[in-house]
Amino acid sequence: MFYTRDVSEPADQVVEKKRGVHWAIKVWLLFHCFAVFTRTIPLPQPADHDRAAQPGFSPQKLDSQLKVANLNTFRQKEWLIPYYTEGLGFWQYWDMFAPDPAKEDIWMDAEVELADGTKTIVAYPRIYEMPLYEKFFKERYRKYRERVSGDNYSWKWPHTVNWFAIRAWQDEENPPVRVTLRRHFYLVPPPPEKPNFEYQTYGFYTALIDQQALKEMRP
Amino acid sequence: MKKWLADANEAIFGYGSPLPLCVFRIIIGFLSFLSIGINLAIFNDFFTEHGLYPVWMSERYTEGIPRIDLLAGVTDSRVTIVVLILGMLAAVLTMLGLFTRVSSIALFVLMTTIHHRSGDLLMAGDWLLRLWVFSVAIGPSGAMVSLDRKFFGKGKAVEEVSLWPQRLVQFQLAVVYFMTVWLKWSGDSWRDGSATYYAGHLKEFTRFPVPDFIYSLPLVKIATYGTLLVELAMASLVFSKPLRKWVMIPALIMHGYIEYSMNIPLFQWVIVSAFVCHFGGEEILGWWKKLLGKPPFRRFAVSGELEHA
Repeated sequence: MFYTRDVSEPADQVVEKKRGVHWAIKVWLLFHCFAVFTRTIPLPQPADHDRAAQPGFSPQKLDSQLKVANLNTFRQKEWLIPYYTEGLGFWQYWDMFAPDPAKEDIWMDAEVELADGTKTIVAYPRIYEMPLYEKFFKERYRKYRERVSGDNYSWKWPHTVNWFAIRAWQDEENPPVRVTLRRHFYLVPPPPEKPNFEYQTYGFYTALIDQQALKEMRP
Repeated sequence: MKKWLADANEAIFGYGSPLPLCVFRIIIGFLSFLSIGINLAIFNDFFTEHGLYPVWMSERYTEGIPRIDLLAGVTDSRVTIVVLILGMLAAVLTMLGLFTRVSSIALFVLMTTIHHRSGDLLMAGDWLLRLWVFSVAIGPSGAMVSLDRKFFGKGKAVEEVSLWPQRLVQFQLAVVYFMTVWLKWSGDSWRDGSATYYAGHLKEFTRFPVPDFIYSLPLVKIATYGTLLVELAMASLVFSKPLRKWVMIPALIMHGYIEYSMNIPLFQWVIVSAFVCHFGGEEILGWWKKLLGKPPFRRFAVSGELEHA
């Protein structure tokens, strides 16, 4: 079942073969490792830019300079490395629970107003409420929530309200007319203080529904 | 200097058994099947034009760089689902080691396509899995414990191979741990020893219950600084053979605890799977022999098979 080396085979099967790795593979491997390294060096925070510009020497300054210099050189398209890492699927960034873990538990839903003035709440899948097996299959909803509810992703909100509006649209004669996206959150205080787990609600985006766009998006 | 270069060359490009990479291939094929398969459960919401994440959103991230993406501009969800199913098929073939080179390259291309289609759904484990598939695809990962070996290589000798694909996995794993420690060290909560307290109080991540004393201040500090130490060791000391075991045991405990307490599907398995690449073929063979010698597994030992090794 397991064969580990040719020398374990009968003597008549052992063939002397030339060993060695082609120089082109060695050069590529070196480049690949370098590209991976530069792609994963932490991005500088605002404080790093300030610190890197300060006079004198300190380990912290060196750390900041490295991050800033890497961002301004190898991470730029002019240096071509991004064509390799992003184009061929070697992009990566290791920021799990870093630089700080999230201190805010968030879930999301939407309040939808229908043409007759009634309001209804449309849920977005919430991992906490799911049974164990479903958590496994639907974790990507939580990941996407991270990447839609933050202000950086406001460009997605006009489309997202339509997704909620479609789910509230039960009666053809009574279409949704307005949607408010809502975050529900609590903050985890510093230890040893316990969080109270009471969620606050914040409507972060309200939009009137474009009926034509809604009809086009409807399955 | 010449000696140092020769030693480095031997360490990276030296020859040995392909067995660790072959075992790695089986695990990675299985995890890839799960990782791609999960998308079927969320297909309508994230892979169609009627969902939350239509094609135009994913294309916003291209930044003018051409990418491996067989689904570029494809808005017909029937094509997308075919790509997902082909990806799962390639994962199964990779796991079984059938037409390994072709199936693992196909898996890498299809997985990269799926990742470029759904970039905003991905977790760190997905990225890492894609990189592992690449290492499997470029290495001699079908040389052993594979259907390729059974159908096309019976009776032929398994040759020793240059271990650089396996070394690439080791390097990539070290980069993951090193960069995360580097980034964490710039975070206040990691420096003051409170980071694990916050992560443990997020309801959206909870999986199985954890006793309250885990969140007492002394234990939080031990867990926070311990995490940094273990991760740093996994980027450095793990390359020392005598220390390897003593670094990996706490790392396994750390990942095991996260897997138990937090709902982060697949990530712990994906990262721990690469630990096998820190071992040599003879060591893995030794474990296998030991396992088959134990009473519950003895019946699996087929007489004579192991003697060849």
